[in-house]
Amino acid sequence: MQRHTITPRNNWQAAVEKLGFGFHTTDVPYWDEKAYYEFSLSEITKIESATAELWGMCLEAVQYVIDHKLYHQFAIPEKAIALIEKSWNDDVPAIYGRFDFGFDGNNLKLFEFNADTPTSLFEAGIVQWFWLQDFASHKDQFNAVHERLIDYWKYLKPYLHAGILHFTCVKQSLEDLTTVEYMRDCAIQAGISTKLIFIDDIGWNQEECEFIDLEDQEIKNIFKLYPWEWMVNEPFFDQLLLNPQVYWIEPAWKMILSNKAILPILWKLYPNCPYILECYFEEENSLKDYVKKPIYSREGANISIVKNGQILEETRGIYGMEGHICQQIFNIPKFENKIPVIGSWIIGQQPSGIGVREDDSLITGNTSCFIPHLINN
Amino acid sequence: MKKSKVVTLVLITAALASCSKPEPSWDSNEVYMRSDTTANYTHTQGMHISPFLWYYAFRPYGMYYGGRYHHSGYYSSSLSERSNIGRSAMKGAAIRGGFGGSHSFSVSS
Repeated sequence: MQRHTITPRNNWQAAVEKLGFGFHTTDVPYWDEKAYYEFSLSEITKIESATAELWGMCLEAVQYVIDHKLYHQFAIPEKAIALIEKSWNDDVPAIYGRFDFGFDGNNLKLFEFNADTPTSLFEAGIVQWFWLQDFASHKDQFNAVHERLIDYWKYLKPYLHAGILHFTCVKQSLEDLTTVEYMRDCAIQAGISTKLIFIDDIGWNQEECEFIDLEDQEIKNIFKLYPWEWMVNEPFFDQLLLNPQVYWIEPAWKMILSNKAILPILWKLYPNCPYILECYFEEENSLKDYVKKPIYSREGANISIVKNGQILEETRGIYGMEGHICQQIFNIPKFENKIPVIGSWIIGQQPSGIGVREDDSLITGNTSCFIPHLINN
Repeated sequence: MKKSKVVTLVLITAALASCSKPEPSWDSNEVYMRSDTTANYTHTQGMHISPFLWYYAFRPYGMYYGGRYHHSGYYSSSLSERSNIGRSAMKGAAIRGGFGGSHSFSVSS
């Protein structure tokens, strides 16, 4: 893995906006093509194998949590348990997730699994692909995101309830809207009828006991870019329990996998796996050098890096009430003072591509840049 | 790894193109609106959603019956309930806003 500094395309902003990528720059650049990462084919193969292997382990870990009723360690409320187990036993459609890895040139280690509401899908699947066509079209990229999404929606289509597949996210975020509209684009190309509705526009028809859209059409299948851990604490969760037949995608069992409490469970089940870092719940922690993470947190919030009992670096935020896990520190080499994290996509059951985000800090946060990549065969 | 065919987008480019348009210049603090002709106007205190999503603020409102869609008006979550519902029994039968209330920022992870 190498980082190369390059000159961005002339008028790159117009090039990415033409694709529908409107959040390339906020206060600081988010999409950054002043550099790219180069991987060898063997490195890509390693990432691909790790992703496939970890996905299998994650499914086993979900079964373990359900069998041993470990919901209290995940701060999952009692009222959500039946829904989680039903969605697992009914094999409710799920489509995607993103494993975040650190890589030191030899060892590839899992930092976390974004299993419920992963973003940067459009950047990984589309924006960096079109960058490659302009920059080095003869080169390859680990990127089958777009084809896999379309293929997997085609596969899921007969398993959905008849009718519309709704898509939802919050109103105020262009990033979230772009991710959802990209996902909807792929579903449309798979031949599925779709509609967009913002999350706070979803209605509940009390007489019919069903969720409805703004045209009073019943919502039977809905892809949501909105986390389960928020939904369970909102008023409509009670209504959701009254109509458990609706397919919410990602399904409720992803509440287990998207929770960082899955990391100590994975360590307990697979201590010899080369991709899993030693990890404990805070109250059982025996590590001296570790990263302390809230079981629920987003964009690097409320994370502390501890070495010999001293906090080296920490971030603020609103998370941490539900408990923490402590994960062994893994040192990633700096590339021109930047620290990259590799996001590896699983779509359906298959590893499907990567996106790299980098930061000056050891903690990847919401100001980390997305950097394109290519494979040097 | 290489993609075997041209990557095509059927929706997203057009759908999001309008999001990049510059912020409108009118003073949004002086807007009186209603979404239903049977409802009263109310003063809308500023924009509740970002300008780039303003195009989506009003959604057609209606109902399917007899195999056809019957348009009844418009609905906007940026307006007060008084101005949205009016005397429309159909709108009054639904509760909205039960999801999305506690967090309004990006979920990105």
